Amino acid sequence: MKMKKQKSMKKYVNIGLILACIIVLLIVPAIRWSNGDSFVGEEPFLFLRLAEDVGLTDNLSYSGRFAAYDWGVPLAMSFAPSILIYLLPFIFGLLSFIIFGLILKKLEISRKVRNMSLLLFLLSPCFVYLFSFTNALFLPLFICLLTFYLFMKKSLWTIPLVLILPLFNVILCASLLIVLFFYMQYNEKKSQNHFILLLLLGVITSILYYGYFIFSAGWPGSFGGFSFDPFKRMVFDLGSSFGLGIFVITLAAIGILVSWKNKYENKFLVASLVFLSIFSYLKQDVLVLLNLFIVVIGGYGLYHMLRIKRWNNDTLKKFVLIIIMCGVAFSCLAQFNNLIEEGPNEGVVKALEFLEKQEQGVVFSDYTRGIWINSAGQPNVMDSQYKFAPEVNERYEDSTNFFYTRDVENASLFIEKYDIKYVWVDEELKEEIWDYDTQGLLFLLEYTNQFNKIYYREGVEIWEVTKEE
Amino acid sequence: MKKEYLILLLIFLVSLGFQLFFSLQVSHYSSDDAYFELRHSEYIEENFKPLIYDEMSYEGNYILNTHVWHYFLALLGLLLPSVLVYKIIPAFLASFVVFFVFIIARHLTKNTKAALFGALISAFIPTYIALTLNQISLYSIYVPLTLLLIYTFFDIRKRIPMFIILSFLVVLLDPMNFLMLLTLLIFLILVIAESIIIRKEMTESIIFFFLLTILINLILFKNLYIDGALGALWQNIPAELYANYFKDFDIIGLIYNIGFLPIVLGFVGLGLALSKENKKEIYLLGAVILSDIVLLILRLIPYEVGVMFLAILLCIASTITIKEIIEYFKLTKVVKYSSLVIVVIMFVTVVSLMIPSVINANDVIDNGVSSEEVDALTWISENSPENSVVLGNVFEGNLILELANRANVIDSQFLLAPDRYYDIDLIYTTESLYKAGVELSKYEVDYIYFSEKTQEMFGIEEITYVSDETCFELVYENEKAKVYEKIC
Repeated sequence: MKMKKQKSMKKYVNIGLILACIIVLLIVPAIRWSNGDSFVGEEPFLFLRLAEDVGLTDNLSYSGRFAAYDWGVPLAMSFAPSILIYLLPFIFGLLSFIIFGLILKKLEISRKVRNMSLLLFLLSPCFVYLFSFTNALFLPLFICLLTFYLFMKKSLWTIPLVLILPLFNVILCASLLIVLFFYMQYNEKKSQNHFILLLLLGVITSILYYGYFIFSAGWPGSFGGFSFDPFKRMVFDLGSSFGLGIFVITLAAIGILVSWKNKYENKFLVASLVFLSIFSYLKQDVLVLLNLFIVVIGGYGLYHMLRIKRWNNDTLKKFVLIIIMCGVAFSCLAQFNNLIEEGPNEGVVKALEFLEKQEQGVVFSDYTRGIWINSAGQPNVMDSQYKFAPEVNERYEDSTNFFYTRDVENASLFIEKYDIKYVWVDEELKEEIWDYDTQGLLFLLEYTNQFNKIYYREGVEIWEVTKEE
Repeated sequence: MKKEYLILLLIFLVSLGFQLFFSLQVSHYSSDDAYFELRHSEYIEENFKPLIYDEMSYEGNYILNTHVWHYFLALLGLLLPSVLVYKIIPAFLASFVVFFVFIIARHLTKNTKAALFGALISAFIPTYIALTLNQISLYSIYVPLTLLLIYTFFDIRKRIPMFIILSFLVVLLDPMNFLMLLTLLIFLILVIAESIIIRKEMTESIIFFFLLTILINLILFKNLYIDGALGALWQNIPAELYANYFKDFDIIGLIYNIGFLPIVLGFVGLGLALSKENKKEIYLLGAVILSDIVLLILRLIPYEVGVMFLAILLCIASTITIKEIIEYFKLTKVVKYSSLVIVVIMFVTVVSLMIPSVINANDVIDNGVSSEEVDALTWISENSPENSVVLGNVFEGNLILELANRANVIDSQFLLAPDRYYDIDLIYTTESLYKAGVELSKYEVDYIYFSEKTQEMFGIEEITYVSDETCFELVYENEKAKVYEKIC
């Protein structure tokens, strides 16, 4: 009788977690839809455009470039881009959640710790970010989880997955292979051949894929500095866009402290954690994998805190748990809020609709607006997809000079060099770039006859460059 | 009532009398910050809700504050006259320090005479007086509550509900003060390093306090930490003013601000206790002193506040030395003179603290906000259009808001405010009418409030360009302040 009750209880917990997952996955899309907002950020615009127009050249980005992108997500969407852009994050979010649960079960983590880890995973800012909208990381994470699960089950279905993973994200592919190595080394030595096969395939595919990019477009360029602040890079609550929640880190710290004496029994966990922590500091994409380990250790920490025997005072225990749950929920809510508030706002969307109807010509703006400009069918000077793009640093420097120049001649040279037809300025840009209303380009736009304002609504201005007779 | 409690009550009354003697000499308050506290508690009193977005500060600024202190004052304001609420009650609360120093010292030394000595010298800590006298200061309540929190932690097992309540109060009153947080963490490290067994409740309480501080800080200041990372701890103070708030930590400055004897007696006491006893209470006292010094060295706590805490903690630690002296005399042949020696030490210590305390108190009253400044600002409130903007220096912003009831250009609420310090400096010091005009137009300034303090702050006798009568008119003048109206 008791067994039966426990079984039905387990079932309810599982159903409850899946329902919670569905709710978490629907919150951001539902609220943005009800607000009449467009996609979140830049990536969905890029992937939609690429999925609709698969090819080796991109005529709009950087006014024409070799299309050296991570093609995995656009190709997966290309069957029905306008529908899949909404559906894929939800479907793969749910599947990732289920597979993560299966992995924990396979790792023989106790049911309570597993449920707590799943709950922490669900409420982590990383999960909310990845699966609330189409971005570059949600599908690679799903593939990583599935590959790991199938590797544990010794299935050869891992082969096609590792073959396609570099198309999605080569960094995650490399990280996954290293994590698999630790797993093979410490938990499953018999899978050595399986691992070597995957390693070879992963390396060969990556070399072929990126070798072709390098051959066609040269070495990937970069611009901007590296932030050395580990908190800002890795902790969501201190500024990282999909980093770890500070309270989950606290729980993980407790988990590490209480299981420190068993560290030699969990070599896989310790090695992976150390590697992923260092690597995610260097490459933020790896945070999505680190998050998985942190939530498991956090789940263990939470479980430890809940064990009544360990607490001498019940009141303190209740307060501590309330604070922790409030903290975890706060990080999750803050992520919801960030994604709901994220641009483009209505004004930008309307301006893009206007731009779409104009005669085609290069639009100049800050590189953070480049992908939106492309989505309106217009070429840009530069955008945030700077890897393998032509003359990134030169374009960046030229753009910065153009933003701050008041010299008509300099401005004309820039316009001529990049064949600029339109200039896009919005309120946010004004706040970020200029200190006052008549600084640099703003002065030229307003007080010279070189530009003609063709659009001004809801904080967005579009200026057309007037042709000299 | 026992004799020692009568003496303690007497010390409390002396401390209260000292504070009231000075603060009741003037009808106004002595600092710009006092008017910030006054404005916000009055707002709550009238509207039953806090002022989150202040349209007049910086002509529009979000006020990041938990308003717990303001709610407390507003609640009292509904029941009591304002003199009682803003003058007497803060002094009353600030004087409570003597009780908490007494109970902590008695707990540490088990010696009533030494504890009374600690209570007496804590009544005359110069920096504490300089920060709390006639200023409606948050520290009037924050310092006693922090001491009480430390005391509850000594015997946490019996006082958990009190610890929880006090933790909430202390963290909510000043969320960006990390003294207690660092203290508890250093305490934990010290006891682990010394292999001292502590009760599980202590560890649990530390976890609770740590998490509570993080949660409150995240909820309130998340964006601030995102923008400035750990630099947010410096509260977005303009670079030019940074040295005013976070000074270099040096021994000479410490002796000047705390007094030679409390420092010597305090550190000797702490050293003696650490070498003799392996008590967790001593380690806690050591941890809180160490944390305060670390925060001061790292400039993570405003200098005056850090020094004030250090002074109070050294008063507590000095009671250990006094106890040791008393016990030492008991072992010698001069035991009959022991009381005399103690009285002499006490007298010298109190006098050495009393003199700078009186000087500080006089300084607060004489050089704080003057009645002439109040008159000038009151004149503005009565004679200028309601929507006018008044320029004053950074430490006059709250005075302009409260007394003149007009929008300011800058004040000390830096957290989410734009950095305007350089522009204000330029307006007061430039000789160019054009440059000043550009800046004045940028901030839509209608009146320039030019006080004696602004003269001292910028090292100027007069604003040069106001001699242009087509553009500026001197509309009010008294001994310590002038008001110019911009008419062009």
